[in-house]
Amino acid sequence: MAGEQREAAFMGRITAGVTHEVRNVLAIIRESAGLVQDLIGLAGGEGLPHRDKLTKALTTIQGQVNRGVELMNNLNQLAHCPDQSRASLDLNQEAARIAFLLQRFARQKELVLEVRPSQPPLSASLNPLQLQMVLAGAVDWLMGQLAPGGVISLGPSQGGSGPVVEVLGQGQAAGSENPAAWPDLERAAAQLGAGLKRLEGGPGLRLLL
Amino acid sequence: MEFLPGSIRRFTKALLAGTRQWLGPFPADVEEPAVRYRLLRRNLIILMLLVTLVPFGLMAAFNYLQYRKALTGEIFEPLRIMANKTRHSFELFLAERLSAVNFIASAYSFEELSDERVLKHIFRVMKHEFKGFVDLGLIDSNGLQLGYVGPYELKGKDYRQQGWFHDVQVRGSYISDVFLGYRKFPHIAIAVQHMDESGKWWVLRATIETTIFDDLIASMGLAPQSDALLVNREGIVQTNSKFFGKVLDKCPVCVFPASREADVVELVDQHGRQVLVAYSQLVNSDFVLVVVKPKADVLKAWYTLKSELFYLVLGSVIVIILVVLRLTGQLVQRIRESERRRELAFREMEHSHKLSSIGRLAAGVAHEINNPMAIINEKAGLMKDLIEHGRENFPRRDDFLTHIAAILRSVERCRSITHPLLGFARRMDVQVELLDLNEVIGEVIKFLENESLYRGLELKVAPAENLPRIASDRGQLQQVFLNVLNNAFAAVEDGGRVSITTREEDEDRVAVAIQDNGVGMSREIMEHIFEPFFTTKKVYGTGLGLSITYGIVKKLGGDIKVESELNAGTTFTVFLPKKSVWEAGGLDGGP
Amino acid sequence: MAGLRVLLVDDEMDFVSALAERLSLRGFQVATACEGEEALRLVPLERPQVVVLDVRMPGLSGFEVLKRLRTDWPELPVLLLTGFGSTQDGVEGLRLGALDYLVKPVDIEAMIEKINQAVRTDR
Repeated sequence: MAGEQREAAFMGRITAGVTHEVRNVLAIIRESAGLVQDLIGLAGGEGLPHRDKLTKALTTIQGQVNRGVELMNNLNQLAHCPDQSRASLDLNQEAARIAFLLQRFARQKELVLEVRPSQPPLSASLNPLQLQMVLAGAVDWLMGQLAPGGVISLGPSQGGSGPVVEVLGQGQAAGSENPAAWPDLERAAAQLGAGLKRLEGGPGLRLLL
Repeated sequence: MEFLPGSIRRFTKALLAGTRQWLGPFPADVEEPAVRYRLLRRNLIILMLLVTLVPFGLMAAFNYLQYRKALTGEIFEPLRIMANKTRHSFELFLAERLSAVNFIASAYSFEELSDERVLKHIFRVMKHEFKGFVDLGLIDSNGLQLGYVGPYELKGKDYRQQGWFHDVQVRGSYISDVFLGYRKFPHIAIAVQHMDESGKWWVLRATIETTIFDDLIASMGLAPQSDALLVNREGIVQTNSKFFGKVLDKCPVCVFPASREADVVELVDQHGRQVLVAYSQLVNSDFVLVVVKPKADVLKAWYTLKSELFYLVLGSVIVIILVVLRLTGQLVQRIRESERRRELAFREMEHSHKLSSIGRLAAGVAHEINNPMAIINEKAGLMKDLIEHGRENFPRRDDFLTHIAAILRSVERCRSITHPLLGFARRMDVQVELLDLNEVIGEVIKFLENESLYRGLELKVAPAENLPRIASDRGQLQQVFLNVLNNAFAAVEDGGRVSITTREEDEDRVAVAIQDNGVGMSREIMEHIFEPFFTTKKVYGTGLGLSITYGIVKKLGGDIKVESELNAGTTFTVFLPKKSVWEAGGLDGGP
Repeated sequence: MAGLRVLLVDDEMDFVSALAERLSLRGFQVATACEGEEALRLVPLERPQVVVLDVRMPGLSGFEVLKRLRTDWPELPVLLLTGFGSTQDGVEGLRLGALDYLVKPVDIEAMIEKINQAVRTDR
């Protein structure tokens, strides 16, 4: 176990380094673009050629910077996961984060990844990294079973003996399930200390935390 | 075990349970590896020693007993036979003499025998034909010696009261014990009773010198330490013996049960020697032939064998123990090795799986950043074009261009940051391509540039010129070098130096040496540095899996070596084959 | 507040120059330093009212500079800039005496707000 943790910590450190760097980059871009915006603003009266185009470009740039910042926030959270072996986690937030992180993969498969948060928010005391692994694994598993156009939803809720996260897939079945996916998921769930149950009537599973 | 009766079954079960308990916890149940292997070794040793030594011991004991029996047989039997044979000779001698006297008693009448002249004649012939006769006498039924030929003055002697006279009447013949007679030589007397048709009876008595006995014994050809003698039922010596008394002495070793058969017993003689005594009773007389052989003599061969056997057994046991110890040591070592390797492989597989998940996610996000970056790049580029190439007079043109250039620079920088991160994600497959090692190292260095700047580290890169390209996996190599560099960084103080050199090692390999002037490692730590469970609380244990690095390097067909000196520094050298050991782009393939 | 003297300390030149210019367009008097030693030298010369200090710098680290500033000029409020998303640096900075911290990339409005606050705050 120790080796694994070291590796995860290593990965975390690298990732943290990356986020830091990228933030610096984003800072530069934001200030530079902001400065150009300021200058354009100042040069109000003077005939500034292409003012509109420039302004639009700058707005876009700032928008992308924000996007980058959000990405870095999430990546950073991921990077610091290995730091803790147990934490009190907001399941809505964790589900949202996983959904965010996996957006790209879902998009590639033309699937929609959404979260149905619980009201009120539920919390569980778990290993954050392992929870991420399990949720990611669950989504991954479902993605292998749905045809383009399908929807995967993550829904934390209160179960009989504790919080539960339901990961459901809606849509046409397609593709073959990766045979290694389910056993891996079971293993990851076992490590997390969570119960795992396949759902009847449609692809999906329930995670008992 | 059903066929065994219940009691045996119960016993066996109890025995097994007891053994199991005594052996301690089953090694697999113990968590800590060192203890586990120690227990395993101990159990193995016990088991192997039991399995080898117990049958060996049993066999040795069995052989010992068997041989002993055989040897005993070998020794006792000949002795018995010899005693028997000699006894036979004695019996023959006595029977002959008895026969002679009997013949005389039967052939001549009482009157003839009473005639002294006839008696003298008979005696002379007798003496001539049979050695040893000393005298001859005729005794009437009243016990009166009527006629006598011989050296003594026995004519007219009255034997009526004598025991032998009664015996001869009862048994018809009589052979006496040895007595010291004429000239102190040992003699025996043979007496025969004869009855004629009228019922009248008389006794004919002759005395014989028994020096012939000594001859008979001498003819046995006994060994110097052995002895043979004739004794009577009470143990009185009848012939002169070497060790056990002269005639009429009491023989010290002649205590035996009355038995017709010859037998051999073990006794301790009057000198304290252990002896074998064979005795054989003569028929028709009270004599017993006794042969005495010192046990030591007889059993010399046996003693030699015993000591030889002892040393053999001792030597064998020692050899067995040494071999068992050595073997179990090696065996447990092998088990340990293979378990470790299996653990490592499993870990790597598991780890690469897990890492690929984290890596995948991280890479996914890092990849994500490329999108906004691309857009920013696009827009900034557009702005640059508009301002730079516009024909109109743009106020503060240079200012604008400066800041836009900063944006464009930053985008480029971001790309160089995320690129290595993406490389890590591709750990699972070994994707072989021809690459320039210097370039790969350059990419990795960029990653660590910031840290080295912050800490004021001197990062020296000395790439070899004309370093041949090698076929390998870029991502995995990046991880390897990153791992090693991180170690180096962790080992040095702020302001320390880390240098990276590449070179062509030989015609098959290239080498990358990463050297730092940090804390260094002791020989002991160096030996374990690549072990998966090895943790040091010192600087080198900052969570970077050198064991994984080792695994990757090995997988790529290379090798990694470490040299270090405490407080001087450490050098890791990674050797890589020029030609890939993997099929190009192979997914599941491999060496 | 107009005319407020600010000292920006960060090793990223592109960032510092752009930010400095933006702040001066908004009426601040900005001095810049791209490393710790330089910053400490400039403080008695420029006499800023607020220092905006990046945590990660080569040579003298941001925390080192912070410590010196707090020792030598305890009246001078310091705002920390950190590129790490986690709150570690920020918390550490506060412990060492920084007034507040901002995460890069900064929102200039937020920074201005905090600068004004810093000067208003009576320590």
